[in-house]
Amino acid sequence: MFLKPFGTIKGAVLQNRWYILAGMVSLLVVDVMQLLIPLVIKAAIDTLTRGIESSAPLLRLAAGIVIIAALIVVFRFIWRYCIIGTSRRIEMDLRGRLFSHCVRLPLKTLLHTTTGDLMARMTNDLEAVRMCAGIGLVALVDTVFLGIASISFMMYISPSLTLACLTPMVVIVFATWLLSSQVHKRFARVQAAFSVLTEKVRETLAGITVIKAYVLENSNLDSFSSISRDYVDKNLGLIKILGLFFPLIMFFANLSIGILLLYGGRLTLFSHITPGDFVAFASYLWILTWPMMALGWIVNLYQRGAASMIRINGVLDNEHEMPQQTEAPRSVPADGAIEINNLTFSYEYGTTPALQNISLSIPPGTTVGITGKTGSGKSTLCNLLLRLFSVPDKSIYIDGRDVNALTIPELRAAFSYVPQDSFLFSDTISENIAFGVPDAPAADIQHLAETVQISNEIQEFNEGFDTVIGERGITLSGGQKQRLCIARALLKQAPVLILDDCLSSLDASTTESIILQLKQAARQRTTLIVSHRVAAIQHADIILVLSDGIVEQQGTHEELIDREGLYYELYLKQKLEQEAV
Amino acid sequence: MPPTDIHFEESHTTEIPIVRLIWYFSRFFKPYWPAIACTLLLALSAVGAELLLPHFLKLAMDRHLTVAARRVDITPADFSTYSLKATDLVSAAEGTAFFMLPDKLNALQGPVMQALGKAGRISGESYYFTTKTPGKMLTAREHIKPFYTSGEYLFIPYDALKDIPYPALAALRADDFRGIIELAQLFLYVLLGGFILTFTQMYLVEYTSQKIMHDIRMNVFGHLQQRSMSFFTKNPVGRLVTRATNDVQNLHEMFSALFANIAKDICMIVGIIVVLFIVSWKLALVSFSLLPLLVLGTFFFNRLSRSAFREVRIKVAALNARAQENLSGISVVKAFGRELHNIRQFNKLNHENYRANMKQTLVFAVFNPLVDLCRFSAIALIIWYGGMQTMRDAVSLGTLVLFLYYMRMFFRPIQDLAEKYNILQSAMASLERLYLLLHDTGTINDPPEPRSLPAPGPGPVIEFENVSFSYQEGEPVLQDVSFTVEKGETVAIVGLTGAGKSTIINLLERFYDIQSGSIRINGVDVHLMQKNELRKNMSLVLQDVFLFAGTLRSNLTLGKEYDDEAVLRALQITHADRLERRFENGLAAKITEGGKTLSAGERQLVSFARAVLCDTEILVLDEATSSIDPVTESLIQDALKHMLSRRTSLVIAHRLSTIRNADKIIVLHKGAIHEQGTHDQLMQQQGLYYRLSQLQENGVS
Repeated sequence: MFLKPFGTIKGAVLQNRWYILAGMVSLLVVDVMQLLIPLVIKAAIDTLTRGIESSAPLLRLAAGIVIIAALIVVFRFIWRYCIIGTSRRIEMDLRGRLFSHCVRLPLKTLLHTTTGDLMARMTNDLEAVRMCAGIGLVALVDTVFLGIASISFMMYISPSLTLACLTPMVVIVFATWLLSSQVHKRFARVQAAFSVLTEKVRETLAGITVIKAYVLENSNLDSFSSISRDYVDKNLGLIKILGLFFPLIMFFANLSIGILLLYGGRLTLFSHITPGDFVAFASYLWILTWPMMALGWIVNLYQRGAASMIRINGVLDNEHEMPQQTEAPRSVPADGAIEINNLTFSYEYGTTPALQNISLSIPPGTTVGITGKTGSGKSTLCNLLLRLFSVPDKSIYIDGRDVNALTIPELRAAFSYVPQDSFLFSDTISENIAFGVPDAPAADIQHLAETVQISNEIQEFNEGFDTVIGERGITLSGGQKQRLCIARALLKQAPVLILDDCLSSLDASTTESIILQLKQAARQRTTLIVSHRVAAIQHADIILVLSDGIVEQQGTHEELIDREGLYYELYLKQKLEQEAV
Repeated sequence: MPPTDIHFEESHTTEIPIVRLIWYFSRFFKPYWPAIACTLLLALSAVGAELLLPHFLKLAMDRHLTVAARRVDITPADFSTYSLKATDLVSAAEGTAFFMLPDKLNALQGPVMQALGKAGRISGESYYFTTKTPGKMLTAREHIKPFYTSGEYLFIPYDALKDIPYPALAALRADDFRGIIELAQLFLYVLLGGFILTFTQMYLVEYTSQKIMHDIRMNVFGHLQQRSMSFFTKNPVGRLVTRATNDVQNLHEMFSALFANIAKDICMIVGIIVVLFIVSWKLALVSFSLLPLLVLGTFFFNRLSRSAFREVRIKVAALNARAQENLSGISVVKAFGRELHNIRQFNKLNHENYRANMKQTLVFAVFNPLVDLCRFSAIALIIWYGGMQTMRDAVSLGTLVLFLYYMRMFFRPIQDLAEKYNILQSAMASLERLYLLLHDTGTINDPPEPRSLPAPGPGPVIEFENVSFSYQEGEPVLQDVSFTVEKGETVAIVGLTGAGKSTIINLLERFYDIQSGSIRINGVDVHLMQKNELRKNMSLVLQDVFLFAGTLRSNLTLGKEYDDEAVLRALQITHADRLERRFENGLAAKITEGGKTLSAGERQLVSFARAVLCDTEILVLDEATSSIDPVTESLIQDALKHMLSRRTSLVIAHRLSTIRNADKIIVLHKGAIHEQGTHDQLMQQQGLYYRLSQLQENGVS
């Protein structure tokens, strides 16, 4: 029941079982050694109370303590190394899994969470789990063992005194149980507030240009302030419980010593126990106060860990779309024949479907031009071909196979894709071009850079192809980014090439020559070009004109300019513009 | 191209002295000094209460439980031999037996006792003594043989006590039991006091540390926002997020430790040292003889631990940067099937982070048990040396127990400190990162006495005069660029990709400072006015659209006050009103992070509407309609036409058709102005512009 949220880390725990075992054994050895020390002390006190003539027994006892101490040092090192190390490994494992899971989640799931939230879970929440699994586990074993051992020793000395001294313990257990669900709830709130805080910082930094350009620094600082303050409040809410928790436990733990004073004192007075017993009893109680306090600490660590674990599970429980195995895709569609059959799709937040009753047959090697007004569903169609969003069954086929029947890697291996947003990574230019084919030879990369007319510009950079570009390609111009994205797609020689409005930031002459190159590339594969420019799609075998998610027109360039309609309008507009030029 | 020395890894080498770190961050503590003083005071009182507790045990032992007299056998003549006073001993009724009471035993240390001991005059046996009453005498006579009496006291060997049956023993030791009850009562009061003090202190500590962290966070956040743009090209978002959130969070434990425990621990340590020296300075000296060793060890581990933690902070930031980037660009990762590859990359960093953490764990795993070694050695010393002292009655048994007790208490805070030391080291690593961040001087400064932006006069609104600029030294991006934009004019900048068009906008917005020349708005150099005032007077629509998580409305108004009517009008002008109608909630429709749910064109429409709503004197459009279809685009242009006629605008465009009607077209080539003029003039010149136009025309026909 208590371990339920932690089922997630079972594998990592099992993997580290030998470390954990070695750590636990060492921990127990340390505990046993620690328990021996009061015995030695008791022997010393009793010896002294009786009175002795030579100091030799004392020396023996002292030497005994030093030997015990040396053993404690060795075994304490071992458990620390084994158990804390294991908690770090569990953290690493969980972080890796969390990341790999996030990356493989369907886009639709990711739309519902913010990047900052996921980042918070990968750092702050993981830390809480790690603390729970490492030091929390140690504290638990320590507490249980020391508790039982101390109690046994105390029982041996005097059962009635033991029972009397342990009555406050009952109160501690009760109080712990009472307060711990509050700790859980409040800590979950703290972590949620931390997520919001993280996302706020992340978003601000990602959108810093807009913030600066519109002079939003102050109003943004205000809104950050209120988020930060909320985080403070949530923390203070937690401390109200924890602040009560620990002193309360301390109070009751020390109350045991008060009881010892009164009742144990009486027993000693009346010779039921010796003064040495009394001192030894006090020592054991002293040892016992640590587990009692630790009990509060453990509950705190556990509740934090569980609250964070549940947050992490919240991510991991989302089903991801990738097969677990890292095996290479088995049967990648090779021809690139696409069949769209009465496809209707809506993002759940839209009121109207983004695409309605789209049907289209694209034989291998065909070039399809897609155009239409902003928001008419062009990019949605591209996203669906790649199954970036879930596609209804029996609506898209590639090489005669339903896309839902293929695994995601099989399907996506069939596409070279240039997205509308030119997203690049903060790696070198080479690595960015070779994004889809990590082991591509340098010559291929350079050849493609020439194809997209960016080679000369790259040569001008300090380190040429090895220049590291800023995050999101922040150091490049829009046109440079788009060309790198095209090169990136072309390098991956997939049977289907999708170009989603990827020429918008390019100047006329570059566009022109890239289109020329693309035409050549298009001969060998099925190509889908989304564009507003007639120039880019006029040579397509089929042109699709979308409007509000519906195919408004379909045909070749010649056919479409003979008809009244959106395409003709676009054509005319651009033709007129050119004539005016 | 702006500087590109972006790296996920930061430098490890910078080391800021701890003193400077503390001095710098102490400014955040200042506003809270009364609260901090209060926590320290509370901590002290709590320590006092806690320190008192074992004392009750000592009192119980010495006064009631093991209270013992010694039998000394001497003749009256021996008094002068051993220079004893008559008051030092209590004469027993029988023969040569005298008894020495515990207070005298403790007072008469040294040579006298040693001499008595050597002569075999002191018996090893302990005697219980109590005031003589008839009832006690009766009990003694009935059960014990032998026992002794003096005028005032009754002496019974300790070993004999256990032969007395319970009710008689209870009567015999009733005074002791009363004393124990009194002690127990006092104990409870002290305990209650400690409870209240600790709770108050814990809350106050959390309150103060949270407030200080809030202040630091605000400071870091504000500082980040003020950084120049080049700062953001060098630092990945994830790293900066780590600084503002995780690193600040990492300070939390230090603050709690600092305000609560460290002060408390140090008080505890000092308190125990003082108490023990008062009780028995010799034994104390012996007990603490191992401390210097511990101090030495601490210094040694300091260096190791600091560098280990520094590495941890750097790795955490690198991990976050990777995660941030992958999640932001997730659709590309997916489309290229790079998931597994990127997971491997991430795991490599993840493993490096683990290694850094393990290094730190190892350092601490060695250091921490050493504290134990010192502790137990101290206990061994007390038993050996202290035990010998007890044998000679130089210290009482109670004192010995007190020492053993306090030794435990003494090493607990030291153990704590060792643990805290770790936290402190970790926090110092974070402080160091924050310090470096807060000391980044890369900001575009406002002039000390800024000039306000005057209303547009007869002169040009925007004026570039001989502007040269490079992001990186030796790689000029703009060279000697001069042009003007008159009031109400629309000026277009065209040129090949990478010609420096966007740079002009960056400079106009003063995202970067130029190296030579000057840029003037309404006749005032942009360096002479506040950045905020400058930017408030321009509306910018960027190539890279950024939408914030929020509503459609909040993305348009950006926190400023507008009525719905104005917002809707702006949407109409940019033909984005379709968007508003498409959403169920209209303007209140939710926009997710980065506007992921909108298409690129739609995002541009929103961004455009945002600028239109702002309605400033100057409108700056950088490829504002590149993803918008030509039909919508031309509708927007028509709508803008009358608006633009009142405004001054600077437009960057690739599609020459969209800027044909501009009052002036500037053709930029390799960072310099190649030609400028109206469309017709440029066409006649048959220069670069003409060639570009030809290309586009060929594209269509």
